[in-house]
Amino acid sequence: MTSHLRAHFPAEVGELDDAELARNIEAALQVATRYGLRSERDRCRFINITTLYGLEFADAPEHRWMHQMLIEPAVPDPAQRLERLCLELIERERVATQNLQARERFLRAR
Amino acid sequence: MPADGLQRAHAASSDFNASKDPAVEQCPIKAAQAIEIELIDADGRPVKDQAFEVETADKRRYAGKTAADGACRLDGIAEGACIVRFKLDRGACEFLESVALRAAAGGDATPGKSADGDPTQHIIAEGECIATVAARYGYQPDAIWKHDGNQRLRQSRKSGYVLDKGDVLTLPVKHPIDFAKATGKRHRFRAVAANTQFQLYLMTAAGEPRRGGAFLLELRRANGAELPSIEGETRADGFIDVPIPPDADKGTLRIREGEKARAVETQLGRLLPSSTVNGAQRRLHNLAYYRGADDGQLNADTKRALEEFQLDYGLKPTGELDDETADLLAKVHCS
Repeated sequence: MTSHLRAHFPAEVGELDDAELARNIEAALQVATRYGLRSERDRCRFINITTLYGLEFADAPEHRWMHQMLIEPAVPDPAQRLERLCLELIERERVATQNLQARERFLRAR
Repeated sequence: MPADGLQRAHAASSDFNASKDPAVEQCPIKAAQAIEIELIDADGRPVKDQAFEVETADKRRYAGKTAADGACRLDGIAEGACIVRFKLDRGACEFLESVALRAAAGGDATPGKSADGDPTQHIIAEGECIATVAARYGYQPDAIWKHDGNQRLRQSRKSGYVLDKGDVLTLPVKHPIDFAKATGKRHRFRAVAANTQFQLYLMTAAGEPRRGGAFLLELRRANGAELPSIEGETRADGFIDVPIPPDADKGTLRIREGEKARAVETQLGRLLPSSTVNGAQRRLHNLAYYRGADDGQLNADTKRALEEFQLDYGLKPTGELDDETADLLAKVHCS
């Protein structure tokens, strides 16, 4: 898991030594368990999220919706809740990037 | 760009064991015991957050919601015919095609029933109209608007697209369609949902329609999430007339004026009926008769604006918001 994080999130974990990173992973795993995430894949995906948005994302007003998706009662399967959250985050970023490009294109044109 | 890294990390996470019991290796023939459903709209775009149920061949029931890609995959289910049932009324959903499974095998799905019940009525909040309510509960707009329970509302409001805060809509009993579909396939469905329409008339300083003017409409949901921006040009009659998603709540309209671009913030779906003082004020505002606050008070400025409007359109200048004036305001305003 530490090598996965170092490979994909160098900016976020670069300043942490292995012991600190392992402690962060352990703390994230405890939260993942509370969300009902059991497989290695799902726990890894949850740690991806906490690495980017922080372990306390559920308490941050701007990220509260992420917590809501992870407890969504209409989706009984925790793994599917997480999958939906990951895809939503990726989609939001895709739309934001496209919109930014459209705005820059519009403002540049004469 | 945090989610850019997330996309790559998400894909790489698939290398980890997806079994809920890490000591158990996944079965290599798991793909034959999976089903994928995908919901798209009339333009082929994914429909997310749509609740559904799947009843498998062994009578287990699985509930879920479509993800941002409009899809959902259930793994580890009994092989055979399933019943796929979206929480959409008959006429709001149709089957398109079955294709090969797409996603990689995941962990086993957890059976469970949907927690959502179907409400019988909805009280209109600010920014809502028949299209937003229909989209929220999975109906076609007409199925709600023409329902017998809404007869009195139809008489008091000319259009379901311009409702007042507090109006009560009765929701008909929903009749979802049961689609029998096999495991081992990805089944694609289309949601026949109605978009709402963004309409705006732009004119030049000389009062002529602004033809072919470039615009960029940036849209956001009530929760602040961005929706895809819409680029285009005004029509020959000066109108911008584009479909927007029912959940669009706010917008920024950027218009190019020569070398410069002007941005106008707009709240969507906030127009109340023209028979209400607030609805009349907003229309008078947009038609350049009124400069005061849209506060719902029939004050001196509002009366004066009504008089000017009545004079211009051949009505007796009473300054009162009578039925005739309200109807003409809606007609001139095109909404």
